Amino acid sequence: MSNIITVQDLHKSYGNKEVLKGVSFALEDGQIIGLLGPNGCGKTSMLKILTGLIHDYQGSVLIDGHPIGVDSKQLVAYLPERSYLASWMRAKDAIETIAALFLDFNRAKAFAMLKDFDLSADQKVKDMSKGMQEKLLLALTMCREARLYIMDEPLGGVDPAARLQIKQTILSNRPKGSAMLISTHQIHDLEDVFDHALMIREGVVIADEPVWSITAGGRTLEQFYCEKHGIPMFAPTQGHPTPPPGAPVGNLAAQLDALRQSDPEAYARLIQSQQQ
Amino acid sequence: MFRLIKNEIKSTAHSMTGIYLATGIAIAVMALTIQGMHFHILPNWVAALGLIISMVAGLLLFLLTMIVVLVNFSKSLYGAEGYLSFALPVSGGRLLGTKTIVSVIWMFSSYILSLLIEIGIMVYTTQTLATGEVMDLIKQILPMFVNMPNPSVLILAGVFMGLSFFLTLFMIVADVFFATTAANTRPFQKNARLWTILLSAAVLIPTMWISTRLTNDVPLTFMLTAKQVGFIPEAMSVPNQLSTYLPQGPGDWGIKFGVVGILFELPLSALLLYFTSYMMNHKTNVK
Repeated sequence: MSNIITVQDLHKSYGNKEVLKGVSFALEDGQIIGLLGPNGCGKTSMLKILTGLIHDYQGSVLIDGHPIGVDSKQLVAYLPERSYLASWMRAKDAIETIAALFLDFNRAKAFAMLKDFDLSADQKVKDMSKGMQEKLLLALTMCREARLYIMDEPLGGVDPAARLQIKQTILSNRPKGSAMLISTHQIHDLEDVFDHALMIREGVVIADEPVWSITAGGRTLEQFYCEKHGIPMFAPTQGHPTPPPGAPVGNLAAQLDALRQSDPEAYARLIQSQQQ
Repeated sequence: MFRLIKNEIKSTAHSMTGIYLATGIAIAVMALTIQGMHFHILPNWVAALGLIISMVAGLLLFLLTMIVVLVNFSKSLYGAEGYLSFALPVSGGRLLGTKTIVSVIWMFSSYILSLLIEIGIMVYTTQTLATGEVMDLIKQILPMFVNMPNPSVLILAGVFMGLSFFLTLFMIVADVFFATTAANTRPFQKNARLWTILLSAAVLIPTMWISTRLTNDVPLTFMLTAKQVGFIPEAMSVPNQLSTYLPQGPGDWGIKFGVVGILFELPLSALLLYFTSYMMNHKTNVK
């Protein structure tokens, strides 16, 4: 299988601070890759380099063999961490804008996705909550027929129910054979979808492995992440609702579903506490 | 490119509509107050105030357009909207070209509209308030236009003035785009707004000084008279000596245009845009 992303000896500095220190890796096409690491480790800088937002770096970066430029950008759909939509826009303006700029954008699918998300096409972006904006941006990204989807914290700042919906949308709308590079702190929520994990710490790659080889010994990806970063795993705090016996650990979707059925009040409390 | 231009016009039209609407309201207020005074409903000072507001609105229209266009450039490339702009599958040069074309179109439209507003105010107030003395004055002025050159020369002079203004606008746009982009490269990015102003002034002030000196001192100007047009080897600073270069009849009218400054500004603007495009492709960071 060919490599969708090839990075060699990538360096990026902000002033005297070097955030990427000679990063090298190659990622196979058609996979879902988790880009994992603590805040400030260089994840977002790397995604910005891959999408053509940062230009002053040293090293070689190729997307499907193309250096970063017009050809590489044609292959990439990017979901940034922050909204790029002008505040005056309504959801339908955002869809029309993206439809006008990207030939591979499916306008009808985007409007259908808005309905699925319970978003009004006439609602202004500035009046939307963070979660609603996140869903709109996700619709704009996933309605493109791209070869590579790059997502920066797609589950950041949204409640568990929305996280589940976003995760399902990502998986169900991914074109066959396309690759995804997802940067996230919500390892627990996404570890069951990752084929490959790329971990970065202080600008250096500390793990670049298929997820099956990490979880082969029975540990979870989150446990592996904590081990690599020297973070102790915490036991659930008393007073928080816990999933009923039998719910599979490590699968947020199943846990939430089981909790909703067994204890609707606890489920409501959990959602409310997450929203606060 | 056409799709990019269309989208750029659409996205900037949102801000521009507000400016044009505000100007339209100011003019409507002026018309109402003058009518109110004409029919003795409103006191004179209210009409005077309405007149001043609409004249100021006409002048502000151009200034605000310039600010909106330049702020939009910065926001759409180096603000949050830059996440979309730089992810588009187009080259930096094409992105820059689109923004330059649309910016110059808006600025030129607002300039023409400003001019039309000021002329319109003059005509409207004269017609509405024309007393016997005003009409007498107009009758006295009209014969002076008899000695004006033929209409085709006047049109040519208008086109030349419009073109030189257009090129100066182009240079200002190129200068600010260059400064904004340079301010978003690593050495300046921490204080990007301050550096935009400083770098813009650092390029614009010497450019304007050199351009003015070249226009005034280099002995090459474009001459328009009622009968002829052509280049003459005379500097702008030298008083008009039409008869030396171009044959003319008694009472002929002539005007000189400096061209060397414009000839200097045009390649400089192109050079600034070239460097801007280079920085967009190789040096800038979107925060």
